[in-house]
Amino acid sequence: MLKKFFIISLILVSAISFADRRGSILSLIDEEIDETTRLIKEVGNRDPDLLLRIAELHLEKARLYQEAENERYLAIPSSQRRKVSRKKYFAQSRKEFSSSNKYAYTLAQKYSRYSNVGDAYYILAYNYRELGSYQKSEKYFRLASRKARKGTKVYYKSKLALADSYYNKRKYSRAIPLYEDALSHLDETWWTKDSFNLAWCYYRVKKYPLAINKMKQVYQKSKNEKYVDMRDYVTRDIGLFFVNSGNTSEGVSFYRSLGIDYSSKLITIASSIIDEGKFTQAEKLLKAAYKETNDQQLKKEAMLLQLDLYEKFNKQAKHLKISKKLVEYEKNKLLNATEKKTLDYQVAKQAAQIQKSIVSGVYQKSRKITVQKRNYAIAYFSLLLQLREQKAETYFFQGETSYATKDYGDSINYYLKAHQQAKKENNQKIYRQSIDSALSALGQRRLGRSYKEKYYEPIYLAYLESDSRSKRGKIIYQKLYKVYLERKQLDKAEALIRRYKEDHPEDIKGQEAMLAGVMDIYRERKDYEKINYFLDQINQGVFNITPKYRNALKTVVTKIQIESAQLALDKGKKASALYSYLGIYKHERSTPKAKANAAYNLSALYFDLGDVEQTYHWAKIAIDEMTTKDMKSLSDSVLTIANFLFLKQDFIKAADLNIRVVAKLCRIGSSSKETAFKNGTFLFLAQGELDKALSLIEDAGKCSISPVLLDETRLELAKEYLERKDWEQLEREALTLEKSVRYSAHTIIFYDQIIKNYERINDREYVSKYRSKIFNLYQKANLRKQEIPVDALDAVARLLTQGMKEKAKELDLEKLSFPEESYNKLLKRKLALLDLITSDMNEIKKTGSGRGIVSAYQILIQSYEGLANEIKGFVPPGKSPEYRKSFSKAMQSVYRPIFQSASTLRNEVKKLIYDNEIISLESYSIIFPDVKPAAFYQPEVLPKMMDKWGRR
Amino acid sequence: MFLRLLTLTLLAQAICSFASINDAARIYQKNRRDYRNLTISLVEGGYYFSALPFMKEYLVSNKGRVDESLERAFDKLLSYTGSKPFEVLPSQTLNRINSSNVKYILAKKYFREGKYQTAQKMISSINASHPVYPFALHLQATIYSILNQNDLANSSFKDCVDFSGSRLKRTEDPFRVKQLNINKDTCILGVARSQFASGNYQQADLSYLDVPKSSPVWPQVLFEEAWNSYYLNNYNRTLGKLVSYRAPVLDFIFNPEIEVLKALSYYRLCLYDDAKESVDNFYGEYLSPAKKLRKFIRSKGKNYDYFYKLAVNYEAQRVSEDGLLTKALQSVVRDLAYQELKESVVKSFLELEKVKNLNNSSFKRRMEGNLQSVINTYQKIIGSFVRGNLINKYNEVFTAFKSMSYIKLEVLSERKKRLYQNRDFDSSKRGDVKYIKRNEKQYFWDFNGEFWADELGDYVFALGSKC
Repeated sequence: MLKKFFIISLILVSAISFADRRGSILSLIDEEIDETTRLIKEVGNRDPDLLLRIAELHLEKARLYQEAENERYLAIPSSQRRKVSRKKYFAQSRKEFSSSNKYAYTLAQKYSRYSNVGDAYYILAYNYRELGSYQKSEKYFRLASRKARKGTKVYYKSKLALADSYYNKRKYSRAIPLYEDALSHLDETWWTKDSFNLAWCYYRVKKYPLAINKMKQVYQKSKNEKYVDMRDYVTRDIGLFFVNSGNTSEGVSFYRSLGIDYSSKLITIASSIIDEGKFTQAEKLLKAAYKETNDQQLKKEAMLLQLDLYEKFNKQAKHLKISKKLVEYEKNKLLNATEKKTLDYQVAKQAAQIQKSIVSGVYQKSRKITVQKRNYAIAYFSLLLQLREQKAETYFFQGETSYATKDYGDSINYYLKAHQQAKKENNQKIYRQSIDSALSALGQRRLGRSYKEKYYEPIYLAYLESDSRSKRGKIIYQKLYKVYLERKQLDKAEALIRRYKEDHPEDIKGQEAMLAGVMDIYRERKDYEKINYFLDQINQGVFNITPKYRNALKTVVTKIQIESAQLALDKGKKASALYSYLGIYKHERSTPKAKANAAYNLSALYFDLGDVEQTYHWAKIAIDEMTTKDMKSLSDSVLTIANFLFLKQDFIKAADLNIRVVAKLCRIGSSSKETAFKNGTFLFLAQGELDKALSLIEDAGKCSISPVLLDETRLELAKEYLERKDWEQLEREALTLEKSVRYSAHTIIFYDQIIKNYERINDREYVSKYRSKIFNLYQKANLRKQEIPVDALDAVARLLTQGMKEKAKELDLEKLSFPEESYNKLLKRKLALLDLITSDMNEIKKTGSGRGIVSAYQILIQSYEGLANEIKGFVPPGKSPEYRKSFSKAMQSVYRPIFQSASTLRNEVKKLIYDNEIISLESYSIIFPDVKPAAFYQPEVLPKMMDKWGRR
Repeated sequence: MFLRLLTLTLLAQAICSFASINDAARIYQKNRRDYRNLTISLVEGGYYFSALPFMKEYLVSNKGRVDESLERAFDKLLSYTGSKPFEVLPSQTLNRINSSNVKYILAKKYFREGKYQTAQKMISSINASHPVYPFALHLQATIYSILNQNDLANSSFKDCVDFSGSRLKRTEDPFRVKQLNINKDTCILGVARSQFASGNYQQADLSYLDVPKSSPVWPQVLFEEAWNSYYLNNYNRTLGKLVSYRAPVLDFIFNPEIEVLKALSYYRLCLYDDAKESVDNFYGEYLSPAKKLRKFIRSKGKNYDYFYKLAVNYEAQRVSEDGLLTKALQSVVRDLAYQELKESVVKSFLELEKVKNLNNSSFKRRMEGNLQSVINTYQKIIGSFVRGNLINKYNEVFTAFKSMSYIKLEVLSERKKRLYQNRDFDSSKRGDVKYIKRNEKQYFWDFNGEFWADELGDYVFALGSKC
């Protein structure tokens, strides 16, 4: 009996502060340790009970030291506390904990079968729990519960501790059997507290009836002073159990039996568990509280707590619903100032938070959520509008929210409300911000057309109301003006222009533009009265405009007139159109442009009617009166008209129009200009108007006509001169053309003809001069790899064959003669000449002139054959037959190879003729050397070739 | 006074025994192995211890039913010698004998061996009319008690009381009367003990009072009553019971547990200082002597002769070297068992003196040999008994030390608990009559500073609890 130990009392003694008694207690513990040590010695250290006891005492001592150390440690100012060694401060307690552990551990190791070894584990567990080593603590509690003798307090206490551990880890199912077993055997002070935990465990695993019963037991037992009084906790929590078990009515009865208002209690419970994160339970409690009470005050409390709850757990839909209910209360004057303030805070906070989240783009990936959140925010702001006197800002926030979700139409609506309200409330900030934001929303592409149409005017007007004279105000004026104009609200537009003139008198251009817009509409409407009214207003100086604009206005009038003519034309009323254009042309108010326009259209109309004269007449006027710019745009049409005249065989008129076009477009770049130049030049050439053509070409140089085109026309002109055998003009033109990049080789043809001309008059100097030019041009063209016309090549070949012919002639003129020495010298000389002729032949071949080459071959073949025949037919005079025979035999070896070469050359040239289809008299005589050319018909009067303009 | 009574009894017996010793000598001369008749003759002649070896020889050499004459002689023999000398015989040998006395001896033998069921079986076969039956009932009740069958024990103890009473009416043999009285008182005590064991403390409280103060078992009743009162939470009466041991008439009793119970009672009354003082005093008084006693006992080993002489010398001189040893010996020599053994030795010596006066013969020599052997055996038994008791006393002291330490630890713990709970110690009046609890068998007197024999055991403290 006496061996009963005190571990339980140790457990029960709570760590209260007893600094004043601690010393006495410690000395008592020392006595206990001494006494136990004495006992240990008495029993020869064989009594595990004593080891257990001493472990326990050291633990107790450790805890006391720890408490004192804690007090001392916490008394150090926090700034210094960080610097001190915690180990040092807790040295005493650590030493005692260590001793305690040492004894308990020794006991557990040495006496593993000791009946109270569970107690040692319990101490170890307890110790580790104190040191914060919860895993080890749990391990030893588990060992304690396993090793402790069944039925002992330690057995059950360790189960309780283990249950507590599981409870704290929320392993309620594991905690339950431990609690159940321990509590069915222990009936101590803390029974109520532990049973209270058990009840919560039941609750957590949804064993509601058990949970409620256990709570009731705890309540009953708590009445007894022996137990820790848990009644307050029971009444605090049991409501939750009732609610979640669906036994609200039982809960009501329970609380009534205690004289406690159920709803009030539920609210209290809910209030306490909200901070613990128990949303569902708290919500159920509050709903039940609301439902069960008729007390408006409690209902309000429940709802306000719900707001708090929903806010904490971000249940916006529910929060909103309750907020709406409370706003209804407020409308009925049922909320006091504090409640109203709370509601206002909740609503404002939610609204702000949602708005913030929307603006930050949290939900931008999901339109659905964005819309939902926007609706919440708008709804919250609507509630705020009902709660607050000052509404402008709230309207503005609604606008901002809608803006953030790109619901610009709605946002404008709210901004405008905010703007109006801000004006009433004299809230300058919102007054400005709201209209700025409205403008921003209005400018969004996403905003539907209908919205824009709806809000343009009110927004702009609202803006101008506050800021009409600024730069931005000016822009708004213009925008609003544009709106009016588009809507054809001309009276409003006119009024706006007048207002604009007042606010921005300096902006003349702006006024002009506005006036122009309005007048355009009137023009469309053909409301000449209004146009004239505006013109009169302008003339009277009502509107300040520039002279330029004044002219423009005149143009407008002209345009109106032209349009009428055009309209007639469109309707096929050509006569009416002609009349109208003629009227415009002759009208005194018509501007040059309008006149030119009318002239052009008259020309076009006549062109349409096929009237050459009138077409030409009005075209000529139009070209003269129209501006270069207009000419450029209409040049194609004018060229078409010129073409029409050409087709009508009126080449001079056609050429004239082309020349006029060139002259008009002279200073500007235009493809039509070159077309007109080319057409005009060729028409003059065709008409034999070579001087006019030359004049046009020479003038064209100033009008930036391309050199290539100029050279082309010059080439054509030169050909005309050649045709006319106008050698002087041809020579002059050829010399110019010689410099052309593209056509210089063509000049060879003209020089060839000029040489022939000079040859006829035997002017060798000029022949020689132009020969040189031809060879120079030929060489340059070859060097530049330019294309050389065939005629030019023939000309070059012709000149080259002339040299061949002279050598062949020399070969033929000087005959072989004896004595032998002279013969040999002559033969040698002839053979050298034949080499030179052959060499010339190679040069001609290079020209590529078919005719020239054939001709050269013919000369060469004739030279070879002539020499061979001469050698073969030479009989040495005054020589014996033997000598002559011997001589003849010796000469065979000379003339035979020459014959053979001539034959080879003939075959070569034949092939060349066939391959290149070179048709010429020389070709004939080569192919058929023994046949005379057949006689061919040659009329007495040579036929005339059709010239290029179709004229003979 | 006891010594005188004993002498008278012995003289009466001597007159009766003279004729039988001659018969025995004749029988011995005639047949040395006629153990039956030798035993009967010698018992009738009052030579019980001389007869003892013959009886044992008989039991060893015979089997079957013991005839009535021998059984009667055997019964008488046992009343003088006790059963111990026969218990050394093998069970197998004893079992062949059909005798209630032998069955009783066997039952005790089995009891000592812890064979309670066999012992009970043996007891149940003893004839209720046999003289040994009241003792057998005592043994039976004791076995029930040991087996925690308290109701049966209670019933057996009551039967024991009844049968002992009944036997007392039918016997005049002073030895038998004495034994029956002690048996009866012990069984009365047994009734109380069984009630105590059953937790019927109130009933036990009354039953303890049934033991007459004149009974040799009464001194230990005081201690048991003290425990009973303790369990009745009547700590003042516990202390009162214990204080009786301070009376000179009871100062021979050395039971360290008395001090333990005293300290424990103080503790229960939350008189922590008193409790602690008791503990400290006990340690102060006995720690060193206890160590010395242990050393002494160890130094003598199993020298039973030494311990026999130690006890005899102590009885002769009433002093010893050491206070604790003196107390222990004082207690041992007043033990009933010791006295019974010592009486047997004395009787054996007296018998030997008588035998020495006989004519020289083989019978005389055999008788002297028998007696000397018996004396030697008894001396060894006594020596062993003394040693064992000294060891027990040492163990009691040792256990008391532990208990005292535990009490001290309890006291310290309680004081600590109060400090934890910030409870002040009560400094009100210590004693008052209002704290005294009584039953219908107890009366109230003031203590006048002296112990009176008729008041012993009835003292009660009047201390108020400080709990």
